[in-house]
Amino acid sequence: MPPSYLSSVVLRATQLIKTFYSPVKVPILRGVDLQVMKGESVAIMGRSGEGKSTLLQILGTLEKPCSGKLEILDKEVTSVNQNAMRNRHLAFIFQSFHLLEDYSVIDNVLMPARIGRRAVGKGSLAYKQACELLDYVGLSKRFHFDTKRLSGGEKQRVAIARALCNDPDIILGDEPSGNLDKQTSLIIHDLLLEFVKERGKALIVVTHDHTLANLCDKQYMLQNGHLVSIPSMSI
Amino acid sequence: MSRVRLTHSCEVQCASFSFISIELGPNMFELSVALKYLLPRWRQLSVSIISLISILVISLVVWLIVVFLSVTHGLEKIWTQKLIALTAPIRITPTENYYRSYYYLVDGISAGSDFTHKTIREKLQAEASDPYNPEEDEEIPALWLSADRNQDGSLNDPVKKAYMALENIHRVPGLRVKDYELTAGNLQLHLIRNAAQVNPQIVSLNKATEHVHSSLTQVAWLGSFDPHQLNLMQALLPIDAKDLTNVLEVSDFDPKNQGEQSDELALADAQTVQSRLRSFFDKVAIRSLKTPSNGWLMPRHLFSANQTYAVQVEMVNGKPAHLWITAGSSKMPAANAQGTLRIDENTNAHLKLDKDPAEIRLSPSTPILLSGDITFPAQLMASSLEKAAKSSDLLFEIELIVQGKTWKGSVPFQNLKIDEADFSSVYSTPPTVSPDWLFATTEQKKKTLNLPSIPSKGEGVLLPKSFKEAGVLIGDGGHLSYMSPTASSVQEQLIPIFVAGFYDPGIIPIGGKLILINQETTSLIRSAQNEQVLSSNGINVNFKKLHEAPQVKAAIQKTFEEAGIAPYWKIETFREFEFTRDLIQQLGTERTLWSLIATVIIIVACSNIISMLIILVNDKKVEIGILRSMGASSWSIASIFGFCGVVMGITGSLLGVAIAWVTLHYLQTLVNLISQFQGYEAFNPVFFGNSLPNQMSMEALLFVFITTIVISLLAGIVPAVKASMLRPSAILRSE
Repeated sequence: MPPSYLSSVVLRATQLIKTFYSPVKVPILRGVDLQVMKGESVAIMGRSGEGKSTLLQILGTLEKPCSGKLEILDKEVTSVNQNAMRNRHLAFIFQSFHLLEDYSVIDNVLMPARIGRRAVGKGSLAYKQACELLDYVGLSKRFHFDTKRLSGGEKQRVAIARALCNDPDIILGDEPSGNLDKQTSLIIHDLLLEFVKERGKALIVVTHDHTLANLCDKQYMLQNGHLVSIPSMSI
Repeated sequence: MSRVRLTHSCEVQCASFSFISIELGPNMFELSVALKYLLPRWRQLSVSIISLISILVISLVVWLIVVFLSVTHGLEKIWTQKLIALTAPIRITPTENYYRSYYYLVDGISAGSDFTHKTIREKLQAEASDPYNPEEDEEIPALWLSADRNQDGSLNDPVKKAYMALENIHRVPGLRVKDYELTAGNLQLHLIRNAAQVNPQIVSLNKATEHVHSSLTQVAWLGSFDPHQLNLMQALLPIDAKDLTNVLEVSDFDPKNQGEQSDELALADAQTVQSRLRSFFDKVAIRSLKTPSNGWLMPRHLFSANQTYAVQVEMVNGKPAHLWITAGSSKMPAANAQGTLRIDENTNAHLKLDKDPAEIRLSPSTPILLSGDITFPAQLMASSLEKAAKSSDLLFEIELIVQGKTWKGSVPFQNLKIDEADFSSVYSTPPTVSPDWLFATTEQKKKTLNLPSIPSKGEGVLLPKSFKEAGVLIGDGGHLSYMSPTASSVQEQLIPIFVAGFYDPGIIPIGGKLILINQETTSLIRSAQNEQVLSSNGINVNFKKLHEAPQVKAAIQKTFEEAGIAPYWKIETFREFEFTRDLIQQLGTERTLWSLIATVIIIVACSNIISMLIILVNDKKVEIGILRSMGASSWSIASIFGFCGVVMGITGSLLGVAIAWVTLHYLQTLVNLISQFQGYEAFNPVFFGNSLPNQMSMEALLFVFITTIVISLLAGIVPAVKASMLRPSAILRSE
């Protein structure tokens, strides 16, 4: 029995098609349909080069599909609203963390708030939230740390905190533990999933990691440009 | 344990970093990122160096432009001020039409006008516009243009109408109309100088004051002096102690009766001298005197008994010829020995030379001198003034300390110079006897300038600076001569004059020869010459706001046209005066040209910004992708790099302005340094004045700031567009 908050659709992709034309014509997505509910975690697997990352970027509005429709919170994504959508409702977690090296830990976490023109001064709500998040990911003593000095696991924790800064509805993970050792991966997985569950966020991860995929509510396989649902036990 | 400490120290360090990061409001996200990128850091050494160089180049250019424009702007201001001081913001001069008109020519054949052409002032004061009487005067020549008559048949009077029209021009604060006259004459000055001060070789120390005479003759332009032209005060040179000394010394003489070839000096009679001295001391209170640079003959009565002094001695044929008591370490050029002077109880002087133990008793006539340029307080003894028949009869009570000994007593003015004196050149009520210099009166709160006129000396004149540089001083007398045709011959007429002051003519080319004298005199000379060729006449229009000159000119032109007198007058603003137009225009052209070159240099300097920003964009590609993934719009990204350009431009400008401020502050020192390196004056003082203007020009500041900001913004556009066009998906995927 699914929990009661699993009622509304936060992301709906209909017949997404993407073809790369350069250097030769390569159809990547041939009509992908996907629906993600609030609080749901979805894992997308597939072989390398199948277009997993491309699909994730399309879902995250960083890339435009050649055709098809993408709705986030029942609103269609257009070139006009995509930046605001990305800022307010979406958040990315990358394999190589992608922290801003010129900034400290707390400033990294606050960056989405800055972009969203929120006040980020010491007494502000955003600042308090950022502190809370860093506390939660276990970096309460690293607020003003230079990001370059952090370990991989710590970096990804910062990235998770940053992803949640603007209280987004959907978190998009691109191999979030791809650059981490097994033990650290497990910790990060737990942290991420616990987080989304607790806060009712939707999570879409692209991964090769079966352990992570199995922790998710749903699993899909991207094959020949189509998304195929697979039962979790079969992985 | 050690690890904990390490972490702690790191935190402290990082905290201090975040302290220097600039906190900006939520709407300034792009600017805050731009500033972050521009802060120099080791990791981006190349970017840091290039941006530093770009900023330095911009500041260098800004520095140059601000200094140059400030100086030229200041120069133009000074030149204009001097020009206005001698002329007016607007000048109205008669045209050829005026001089060919019946109105002007008719005076030459009319008995009512004494058969002489009239000046503008005379025309204004004349009762009848048309003095011609057909019954008495000769026939009007057929070649003349027909008379320009009004509808009622009366003669059109351009002068009276012009004055009426000028009176009716409103809304120009401080508008004042005054005619001016310019004519020519021959100036002869007799310079009478104290021989002891002129030539050290003829120090006739034992004699009473001796004077030498030289004369200076020059053809000069004579301009009419306008007592209400207060701007003139800005061009006046200050009266100094040398001038005052000269006024006092020449009181004894009568230069206006001085024959040019005669060696004998014409002396003034005792009564005249007495009245001159009284008048002088009525206006001047001498506070201190100075010994002449060649030394001053010490009156023996000042010596007290039993005193010794270190002296420098000039030995001639083994005998002491001159002795100098020196103050400090000054060395008298003629001295060839040193010794000690002793005054015995009978005030006889004894000399003991350092090289010769024997003491020589000096004869009372052996001159003992006090070395030059020693100043001491002095006060005139009023009783001596009453009896004085010449300036050297004046006695002063002095107190002088030399080599630790005090000399007190009365000394004659002979050979001494005035060092400091209180005197005034502004009076609330006109003095009964004029001072010898130009003075101002402030009667009923209205300031008027006065050229003195003294019966025993003649008319006071104002000479240009070049005369002062040639050694002329206030008080020097002489005369103005001009040729006056009579019925049978041409006679030389002489007008006695004396120098009452000096002015700086600035850039007026004839300025070096333009003498200002009361208008009565110019009118007199003009009417005698009766020739318009050598002279000119016109109307000065003064008002306060110089920049309104073109509008005032247009207003005058309009009223003149309405009055039907426009063809008779040429109206010029100070920028159009024929004699200065070229110079002022050249300065303007130079400034425009320089601004153009400056703009080009700024463009070159700012082009550095483009390359620097392109490197920065390449460096920050991933960050751009990350920011985009967090929702930053492409416009935001473009703004970040646009801001980078502008911030660099502004930083460079501010730095440049700061250096310019310092440069301008020490401009004179710098110029002196350059002159020293070159071995000659770096800037011609005739054009640039004794010191270059060093006020920072607001115009220059505005120009530089606007140009730099616009150009640096334009320079930022290319990299900004490049940055905003980057596709985040491509960047993030390739990583």
